[in-house]
Amino acid sequence: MLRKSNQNKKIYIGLIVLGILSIIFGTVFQQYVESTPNLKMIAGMIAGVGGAFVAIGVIRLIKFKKSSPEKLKAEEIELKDERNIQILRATYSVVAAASILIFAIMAFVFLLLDYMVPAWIAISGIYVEVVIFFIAYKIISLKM
Amino acid sequence: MENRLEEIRNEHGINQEELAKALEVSRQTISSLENGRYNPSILLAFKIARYFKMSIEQIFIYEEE
Repeated sequence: MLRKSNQNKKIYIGLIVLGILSIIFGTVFQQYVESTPNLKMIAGMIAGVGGAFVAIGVIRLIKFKKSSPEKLKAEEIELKDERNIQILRATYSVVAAASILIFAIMAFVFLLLDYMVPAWIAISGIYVEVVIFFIAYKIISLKM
Repeated sequence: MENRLEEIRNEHGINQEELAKALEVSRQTISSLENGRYNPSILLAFKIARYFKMSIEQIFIYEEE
């Protein structure tokens, strides 16, 4: 007998809760930074992202409730399929390498345009990625 | 690594979809395995061998280069 996976349901509920918390935080934060436009914009973005989380969570939860156990099982198999996981990992590797290249190009372009702050942010991005790589490598090595 | 998966599956009279369902993998994984584009993990190799009541070596052929 096929049963509905409760794990997905928990993820969707978690997404809704996170979204609601983001909306509350963004709205409250906005009141405190009324006089600072940049911070107000960030607060608005946090609330906006929260709204998106709630919408995605609600839609996925409704879809989950309406799906048959067979369809859910098929979705679960697609998610856990070892070939799909390997494809996903290989894709992430390509994206990670591409993102370092994009940061480098951005830094170069910003330097040419004499935008020093964005250039430093882009260069810092490269360093952060390299540091994350070594930390992740170390942690994953210890687990395997 | 070569394998006899398609041949064995045909001998058992089941299609890719049925085998995929039994092994809890996607149909594309079975197709890739049969075409030799993808090598299974040791866990999947065991699952396949147990499903057909055979040894791994009877299905997968490993040749050192």
